[in-house]
Amino acid sequence: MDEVPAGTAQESAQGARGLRGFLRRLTSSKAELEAEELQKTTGEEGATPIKACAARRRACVAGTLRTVTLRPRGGAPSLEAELYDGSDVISLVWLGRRRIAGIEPGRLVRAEGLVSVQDGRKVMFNPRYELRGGS
Amino acid sequence: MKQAVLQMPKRFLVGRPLRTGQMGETLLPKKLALPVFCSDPLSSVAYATEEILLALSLGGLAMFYLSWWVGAGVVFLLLVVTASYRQTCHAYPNGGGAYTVSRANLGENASLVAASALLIDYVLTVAVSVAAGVANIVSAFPALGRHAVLISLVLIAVLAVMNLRGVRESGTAFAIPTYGFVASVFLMLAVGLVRVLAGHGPTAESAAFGVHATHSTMGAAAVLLALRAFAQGCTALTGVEAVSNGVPNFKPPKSRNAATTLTIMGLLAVTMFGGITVLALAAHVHIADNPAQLVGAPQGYEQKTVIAQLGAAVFGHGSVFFFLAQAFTAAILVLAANTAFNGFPILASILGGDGYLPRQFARRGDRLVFSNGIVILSLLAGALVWAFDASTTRLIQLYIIGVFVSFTLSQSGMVRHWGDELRRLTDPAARRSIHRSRAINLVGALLTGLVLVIVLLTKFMHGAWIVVVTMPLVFLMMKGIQRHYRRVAAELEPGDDGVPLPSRIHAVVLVSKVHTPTLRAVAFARATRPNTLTALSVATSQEEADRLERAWAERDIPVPLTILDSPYRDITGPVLDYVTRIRLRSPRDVVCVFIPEYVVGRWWEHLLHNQSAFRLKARLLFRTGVMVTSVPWQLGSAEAALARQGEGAEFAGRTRVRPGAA
Repeated sequence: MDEVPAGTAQESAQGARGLRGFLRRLTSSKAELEAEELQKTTGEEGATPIKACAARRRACVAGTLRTVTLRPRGGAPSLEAELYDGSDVISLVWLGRRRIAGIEPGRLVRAEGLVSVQDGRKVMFNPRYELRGGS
Repeated sequence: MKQAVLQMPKRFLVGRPLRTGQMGETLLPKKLALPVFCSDPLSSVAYATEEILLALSLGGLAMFYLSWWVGAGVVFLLLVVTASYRQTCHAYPNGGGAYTVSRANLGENASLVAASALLIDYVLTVAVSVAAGVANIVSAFPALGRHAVLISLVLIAVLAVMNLRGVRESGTAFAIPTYGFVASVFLMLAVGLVRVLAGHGPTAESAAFGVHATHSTMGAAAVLLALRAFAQGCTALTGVEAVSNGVPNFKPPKSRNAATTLTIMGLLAVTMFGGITVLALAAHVHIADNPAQLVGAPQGYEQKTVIAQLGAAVFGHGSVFFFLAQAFTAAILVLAANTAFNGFPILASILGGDGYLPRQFARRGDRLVFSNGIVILSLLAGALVWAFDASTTRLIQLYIIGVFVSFTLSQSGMVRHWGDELRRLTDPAARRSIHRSRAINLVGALLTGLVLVIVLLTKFMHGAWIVVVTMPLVFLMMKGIQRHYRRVAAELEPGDDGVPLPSRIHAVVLVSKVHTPTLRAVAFARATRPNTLTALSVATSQEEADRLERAWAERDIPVPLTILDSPYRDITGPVLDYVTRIRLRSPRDVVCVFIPEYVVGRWWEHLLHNQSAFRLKARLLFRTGVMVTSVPWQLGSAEAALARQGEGAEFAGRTRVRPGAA
């Protein structure tokens, strides 16, 4: 398991302090604020920023679930959620499950698994996950 | 029913809508064309003399001897302009307004200058004519003096309604006042002439008053004053171009009939103007710009119009003929405004068609007239009358600049036109006649140009600067509108290979709860067979999301449900992000967003429903490659509203198969 240290996220989190950070917080958009907060948690979890995850490498990522898609009955059951950590998005797919208690939008999650790239999107199949904190 | 009730006042005022096929050519014989097109130039006779005298009064009584010369100058100019416009009638049988002529011969910018001059002038024509008409009414009934502005506004409104009804009826309505005015003026002139010849000429009520000079009359100042009087007198020329605009409305032979009408008009105007000026001098009508200038006038004396003073002097104050003459004068002055109501909407429609004004001006209304132009014209004229307190003297300062700009441009255009003809023709007889026409137009162009300069110089400080400022603004506005239309047209022009089919369609149905409108939207979205289909919901609270999830699973809806997290509890943002992500992932695909919407029947229900849907829709429409489909759900109140309107009841009854059927 070779994790990429989340140095960049930590630096930006530290950069948010002081007068300049204050000014930036005033002027930045909601999305920027959210990204910044999420990057901070990534650092605290000791996870890899999704942006830095490479394909075919195991990685540990942490962030909030932005969307959760429930598949209808019939067809192969699967549960898909998008994890966002402020730097990028990764799709978490649990095959053979239709529903996992606790996997719901807004939930803070730490997931570990093999990162693959499909159509330019990062996907992690059947990751080991840990539900962190409330939504 | 409700709609019918709302329509009733309009129907009452404007009349039944006409079918397009009913547009039939209403061709005018000469005797009807004269009142329709010439009421403006004929009516300006009623105030042209007065304006000359007013301008001269600044120099005191001594200056009045100049009115001969000023009057003669105006008559000469009127003859030249009439002769020049006769040429236009022959050259442009399809109607040769200043705009058309200068567009054909002088290019776009010149034509737009002419158009802006004309547009402003039409507005002023309405304002001046109505104000002058009201001034005559007030002369007959001084008690009405306080309500002059109100009366003017009412008259403008009446004119607007008449014109909205269409000209077909108004043709005959114009004949009576116009011919009545001509007859009464001639009667007045004849009686006055006989009395002068008999040795006891008429004497105006103001003959005994002196006029206190406020301006120096030495040397150059006298010349300047005379020029100013001349510029004022030139109001007699306004409206001459109406005939050349209206050539297509004449009975054939169109050009000849139009030219003849123009000649008759010119001769009538010259005779009446000359006669009134002579009579005014013979009767010693003394009027002054400012009543305080009058020496020896009784306390509280209200100045009357020249034509009212003459009428009183000739027929006797309070006699039937005096009131008849006043009535006709007022009537023709108000109707003269109609010349503008003929001209403005047509010019605006041509400009609208050419893309210099909003395109709505080119659309015909219920009664086949250019309603938008009529409405705008009356609004502008009303505002002008209101701003200038319905004062003819102040309004007239703005007036004739536009006329002479368009005269000059149209005459110069005609000179060009004949030049081109000469290059084309070889037949010596035809060339000779063209040479003559060109000479006439050249004289016309030079003279009107000269007068334009005089008018500008003498009137600039008295209010004409407003027009001088407004004209370029109108010009720039038209240029700007055209640039915009061009840019849009270029943008909308399809490329050589047309528009490619979107490679795939991603459908997104917005869902808030599982209820009938949602289910119907989902059913409809499935029936359109998109490549991918997702139901989308925004979780503003966890409980709500859970409830939706459960209901979705219970109903066993065969569409994946995606629930978006909204950390800041807004609905629009996450949906927009989601749609953007689909677009980013597959830029050549199209996203189709289905939004279930309630249709409500009462205004306050709008406040209770659809708020987030509306906001979302407004934002989504700005995204490229995103189609928004409304899936309406008619609430009970909407159906009731439809039934109230009458026409929809049957439709609603017959199309309702089963409530909520998709």
